[in-house]
Amino acid sequence: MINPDNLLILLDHLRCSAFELPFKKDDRFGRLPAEQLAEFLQFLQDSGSLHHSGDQYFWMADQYPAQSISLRSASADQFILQAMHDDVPETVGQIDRASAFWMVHPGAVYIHEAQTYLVDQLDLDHNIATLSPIDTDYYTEPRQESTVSLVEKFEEMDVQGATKAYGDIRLVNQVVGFKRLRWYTHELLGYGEVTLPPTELVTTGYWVSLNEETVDSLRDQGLWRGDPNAYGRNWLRQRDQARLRDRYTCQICGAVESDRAHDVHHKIPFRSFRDERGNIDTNLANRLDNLITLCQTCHKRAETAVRVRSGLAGLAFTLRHLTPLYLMCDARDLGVHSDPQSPLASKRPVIVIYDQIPAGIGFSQRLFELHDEIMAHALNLISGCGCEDGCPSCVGPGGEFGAGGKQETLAILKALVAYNM
Amino acid sequence: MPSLSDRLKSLGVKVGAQNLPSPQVNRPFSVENVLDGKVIPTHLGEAYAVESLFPNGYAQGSVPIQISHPLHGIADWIQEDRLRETSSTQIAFLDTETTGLSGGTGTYAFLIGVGRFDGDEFHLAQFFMRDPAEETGHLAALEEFLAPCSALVTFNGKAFDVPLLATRYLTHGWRPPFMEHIHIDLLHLARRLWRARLPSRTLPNLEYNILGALRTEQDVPGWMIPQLYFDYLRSGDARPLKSVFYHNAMDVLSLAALLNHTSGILADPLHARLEHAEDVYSIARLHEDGGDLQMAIQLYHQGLEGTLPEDKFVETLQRLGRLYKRQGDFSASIALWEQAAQHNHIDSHVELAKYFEHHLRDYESALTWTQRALKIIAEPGFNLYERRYWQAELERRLSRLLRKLHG
Repeated sequence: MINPDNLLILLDHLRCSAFELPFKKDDRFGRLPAEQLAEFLQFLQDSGSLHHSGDQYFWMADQYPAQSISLRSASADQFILQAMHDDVPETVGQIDRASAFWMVHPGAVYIHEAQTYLVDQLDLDHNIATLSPIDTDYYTEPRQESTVSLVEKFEEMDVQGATKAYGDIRLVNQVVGFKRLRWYTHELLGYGEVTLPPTELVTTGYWVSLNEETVDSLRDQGLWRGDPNAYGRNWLRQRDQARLRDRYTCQICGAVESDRAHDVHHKIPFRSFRDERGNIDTNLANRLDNLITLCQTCHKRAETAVRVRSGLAGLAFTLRHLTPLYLMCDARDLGVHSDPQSPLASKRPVIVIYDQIPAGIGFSQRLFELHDEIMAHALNLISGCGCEDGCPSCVGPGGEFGAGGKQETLAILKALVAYNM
Repeated sequence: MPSLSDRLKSLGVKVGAQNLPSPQVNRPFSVENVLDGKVIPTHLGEAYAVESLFPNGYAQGSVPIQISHPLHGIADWIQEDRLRETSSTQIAFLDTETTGLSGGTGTYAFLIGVGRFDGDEFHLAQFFMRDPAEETGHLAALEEFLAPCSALVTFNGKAFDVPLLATRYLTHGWRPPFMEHIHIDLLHLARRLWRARLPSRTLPNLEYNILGALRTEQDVPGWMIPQLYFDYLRSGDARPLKSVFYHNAMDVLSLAALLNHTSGILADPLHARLEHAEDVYSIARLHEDGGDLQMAIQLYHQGLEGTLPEDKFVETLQRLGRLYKRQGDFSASIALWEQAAQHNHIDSHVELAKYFEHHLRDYESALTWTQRALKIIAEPGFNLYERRYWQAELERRLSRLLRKLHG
């Protein structure tokens, strides 16, 4: 699926068309409204590509516009991948700028034509990634942090249990590190840090924001994980005791507390101590041998390793794998982001699915239209899955000690689907 | 809603220059006021041309602009018999200045310089497109000027000027007026004639090295020309275009001088009294490739009498040796190959080894030549790729010879 009115695609199409034949005054272009075409032609004239004379716009630039169009992505800002063979660089491929940050960050393992390469350097000024051909027994997976903000909402509609919307969003993404995982077993071998500037993607997104009623009903069922944890009355004491016991030292990396108190982490997640009625035995959960002192960095890693999957994250996982089937696209063409307090919907819980392509190519509008069908399908999929508490086929696998979030995800979907099948 | 330009910028479009002024009318420095040309009415609108006449004998550098030699040598080279019957007044010399150097449909030939002999004079017309809206008149005027002509002379016109102009005519739905014309592209000939001697065969380089002409400061490098035209369209100020007209006029005049020069060489190469032995070598190769082996042999000998750089000297020996071999004159070949072998020429070693092995069945001598060649390619400075190529060939020969010698 390609949206021909994507601004970037449209701009390049218009440039190529103007190169082939001058635009005349009342010419049309596809389904583009006449006034918008005029705006584009004016833009091209102002930036020196067109010459307006009489009632025609003539191409007047020493360029061959088709040459600057990449068939692999909408943006033409390309990085080249240079493999070093005995200090002699050989260009093995190209990658677009947005992908370069997460695919060829320093330390990444990149695979090209069955050869594994280790990325030595990513030169952002010259758009060059330097690789060394190397045999590894591991691959890497980037760790990214994203924030989403609203640019412009195109349409919004109340649906069962929620509000659906689509529009332009701004996604700020930063690759902060990566995991090293062993081939075949996916065993975690360690972490690497990456210092890269954040990247910005303005694209179209479709989002579902749960309404108050839905969240309240989930809370009542004890299946809402979006609220900040209240660790109970004995928490502060237990926390300080744990830090004292661990001599204020991170038990993973050995860093000693300096200007910030270290975190204290539940080895078995706090939420797992919830009984059938939703109550947590804080004495059991906060007992000292379930607590460990960790510095902030190690804590973040531990949190991602032992994940308590919330219903929101579980639903995001399901939609990530379900929606490409409706759109006939690659799973990597879409991004999925969930946020219990999203700026897209006045701090309400949101799942947003966006086009991984600058300016979007039409996925979001389609998802907006397909909302009911997709949610019903998701509910069907998860309730029909034979797993106990999450697996790769439904809401995603739970961690070693974690909870899968299947039940929580089902609860959300039941609130979103009008006629349970 | 942010403006289109801001939205595109936020998507990472590198927009470059912005808010350029709209095209302006510049009366004091308009084309008509700055250039000494005239408006030509055509049935498809106006055209504009600057015309100049050059008297018979006018020289570009040291070479006069005229057709002083028969064109049969050129006719042989381009394999075009119609050229033998073509009179000098039917030949048009053409060069275009365009809005882009990479070509393609959206590239305009905004200045078309075309010259032809008219009586005693060389008549140069430079058709200038004052505005792209005027292109129909511009092309119609060129068509009228070309009407008496049946041959075109260009420099890289086969790849650039002619297809580009043809596209312009086709875009307007007309048949290009020169599709059946004889076409002499002097770039290809220049490459063959001066590749051995000149590091660059661009027209300004040939002008300087072959014609002995030097352009004045008024000239402008070709890559700047599109931008000068774009600037003119925006500002209406035609003054900077003067240098483009000068550049274009020089190109057309050089074409005429170059045809005169090359047709003279090709008409009778043995008596062309060429100053440089490399040029003799190049013309010999031209005839060898064209199948005129007798002429090639005579020219290679003439080249060997001059001062050739070592690589060309050795190559001449080897080529001459091969020509004699084709004629069955092995004694002449052997002498030449032995001479080349002294310069460590591997191919000649192989030829000698073949000769001793297959004709004289003197395996000892064949072995000696093969071993000598293997020694040469093993030397440290020898080119890696050539070594790889010869190694396999020579070792195969060596083992076969050893088998024949020792059973």
